[in-house]
Amino acid sequence: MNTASTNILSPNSLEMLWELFQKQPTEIKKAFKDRLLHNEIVCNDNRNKFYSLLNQWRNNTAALSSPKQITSDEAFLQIVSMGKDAVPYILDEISDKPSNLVWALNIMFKKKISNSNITIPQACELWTKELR
Amino acid sequence: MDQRTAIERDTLISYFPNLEADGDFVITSPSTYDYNCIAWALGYNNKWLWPLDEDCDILDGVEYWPDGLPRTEDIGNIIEAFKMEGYELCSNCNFEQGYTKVALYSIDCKATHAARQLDSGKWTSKLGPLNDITHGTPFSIEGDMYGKVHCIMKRPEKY
Repeated sequence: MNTASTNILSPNSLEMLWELFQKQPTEIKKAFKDRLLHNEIVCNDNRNKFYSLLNQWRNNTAALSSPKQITSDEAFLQIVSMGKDAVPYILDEISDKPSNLVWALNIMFKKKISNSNITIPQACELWTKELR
Repeated sequence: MDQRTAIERDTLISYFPNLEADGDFVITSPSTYDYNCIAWALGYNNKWLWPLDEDCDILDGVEYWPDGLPRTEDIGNIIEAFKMEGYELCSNCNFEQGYTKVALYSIDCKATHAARQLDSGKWTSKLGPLNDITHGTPFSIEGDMYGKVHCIMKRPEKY
């Protein structure tokens, strides 16, 4: 997301950070590595969980028209309950292949992206612009 | 038939097994989220129409339909909504010159789908966000996804 890009280290500062890291006691270095590894595992877990739920939801609701039936599916509710952890994956999906997955964002953020009559693909475009 | 169409056809048959025996089953459009079955039955290809209840009011891309009726997807409510569009209940799905017929589907009295009869006597359906298809009878898409045909309605072609 855009807000994160302002906090990314430049190559020079990254080099300085690495030198600083090398000077730390072994136990600090180990704790730091463990934490990085843990974060990576959590990220992968979220990704796997999201795509597994997405596949289940699509299979269950593939040819349905009723928004109520589509959004009350158990797998969809679990995606919504992932909250902000699911948002990057939702944005990846709806920017690549616009779909009614965008309704997860409506429910998470408790709002419509537009009060006009827009199509689902148009809503996907507007949400992606707003959140990226 | 190209490979992509063959895959789509197999996918649709997996959701609607009766289509396999329907000799008139043809995919007639790519899949799209621009419109749904109710819109297509009423002749639109740029709206997702459904009788949204208040819980679903915040969903983008869905137009509440119709005004003036309870906000429920009970099949009785959908029948009333089609009456507001000029349709009346009729007894069969046979083609009648000068009329357009629709088939309404339900599971446990909740609306699931609408299909429209073409001038050829065959039927056209938009399958949720999937493809438009032509099918020979309204019964060939009955099953787990849409349940049963609940009723047939008709209105004069020049409504």
